[in-house]
Amino acid sequence: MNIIGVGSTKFSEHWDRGIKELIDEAVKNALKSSSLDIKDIDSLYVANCFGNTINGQGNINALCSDMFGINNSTAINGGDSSGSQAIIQAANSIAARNSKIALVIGVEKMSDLGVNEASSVISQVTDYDYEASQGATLASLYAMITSQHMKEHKTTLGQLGMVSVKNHANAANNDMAQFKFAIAPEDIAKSQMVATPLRVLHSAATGDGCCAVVMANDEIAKKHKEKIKLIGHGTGSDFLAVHEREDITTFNALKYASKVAFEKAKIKPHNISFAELHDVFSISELMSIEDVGFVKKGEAARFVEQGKANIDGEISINPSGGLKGCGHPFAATGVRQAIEVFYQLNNNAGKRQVKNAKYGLTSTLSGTGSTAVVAIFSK
Amino acid sequence: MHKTNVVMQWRKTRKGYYITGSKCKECLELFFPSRLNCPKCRSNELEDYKFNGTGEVYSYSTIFFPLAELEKNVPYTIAMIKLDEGPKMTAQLVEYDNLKEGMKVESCVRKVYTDGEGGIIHYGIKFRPVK
Repeated sequence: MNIIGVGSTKFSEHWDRGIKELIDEAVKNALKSSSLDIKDIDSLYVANCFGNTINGQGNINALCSDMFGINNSTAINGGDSSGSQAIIQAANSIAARNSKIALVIGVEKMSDLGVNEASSVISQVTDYDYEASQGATLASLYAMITSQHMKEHKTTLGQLGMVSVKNHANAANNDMAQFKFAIAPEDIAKSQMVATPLRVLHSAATGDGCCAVVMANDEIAKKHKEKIKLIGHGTGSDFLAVHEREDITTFNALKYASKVAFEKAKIKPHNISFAELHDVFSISELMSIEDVGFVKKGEAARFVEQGKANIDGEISINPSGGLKGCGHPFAATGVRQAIEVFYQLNNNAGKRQVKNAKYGLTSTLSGTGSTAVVAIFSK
Repeated sequence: MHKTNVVMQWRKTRKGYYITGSKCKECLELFFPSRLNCPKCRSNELEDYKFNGTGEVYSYSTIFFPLAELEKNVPYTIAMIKLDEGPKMTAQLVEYDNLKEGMKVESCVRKVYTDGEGGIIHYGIKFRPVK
């Protein structure tokens, strides 16, 4: 299974555009990139989390079928990792020969809500009865995970800040990023407190965005010069509520998903040139670096601090700018990660190009890590 | 947050107010919240288990960007409580002077939020320091 074309909108607060306009722009860009026509597409996989709640629009696959005149469409709504789940669904459909050329769309339109309203809606990805209903926000759950990681693994707030500094530096070279600017370490302590000890600059912001990729079987991909090959993927899950996990500083879902993905890809973590990880809060990037298997538990903070996760480091982490720099319109994020891999492996990433990039990995988490989806790509 | 109607609230009341979880009859593992199937040994023979409602603070965070329904409470503190019987649960901390991990706490029934004027008042369990 291959990705042969990619397209997106800028991630932003698109006050002047609705969900349809965002989808249309991303799809047209993806088709242009693949030199294909909409008539060549035989199936649609559409990821979206909050259309029902925020935009009053459910049945999102039918909306896209309606827009593009494609009969075969499926909707995926599985939290933050919905975009990655849609890519896996499309890949499985192609592998089963149910589809030759599939279009994957990840879209989210969240800026119609205020900050606190958005917190309430986002809390849907946690345990409604036993976390959200008690007053917990997604940030506060990650804040408690952070405190525990700091206690058990001696991670410091300064080191957490380095994750944001690195990702913003990368985003400064990414035109589609919502937060296309660099920040200094001292800016972090000055930013507003969200949930102790996490501040605004430790947190990814939500917004609007749509990403689309065209996927095709090997025979069709042969004719395309720019492409990437999906060589392994895995999905894992864990308890929905954080408090049910014995060790809250480990994403068990991600450990499992990574193990499966690496087995299928027949490579090891040290073979990966760069990775797009789920830095929804700084701590989740550090834990992802550990749980994908790039470093041992408790060593990720030093890895980032020593510059080993920089663009020119040992394994570049979030060369796109990650969720922190690009913004996090939920279901668009997993597809955005795949787009970055496409640019990087085709040597098209401009100033943020990772040198000699051979293998790229993406990983998204839903909620507090209750679902994890890992995908490994090669040129 | 998803808006709860009267029936949903009524259904949640028994388990929500009394910290009732489950005990697996096969492997004797305790769970909070209650479960219909045991994720440890895969048995579906479970019985209700009422927790004492005492424990200690495992981790906590004071919230400044709240859920819209709790805007008036800012800042408020959410915590993971490790119950004396073993399982952890998530709830707000109240009536404290100093926050500390490991602090001994007991449960109390408190208002969590209200669905606007004339709407349902949602009560639930919070924890306070043991005096």
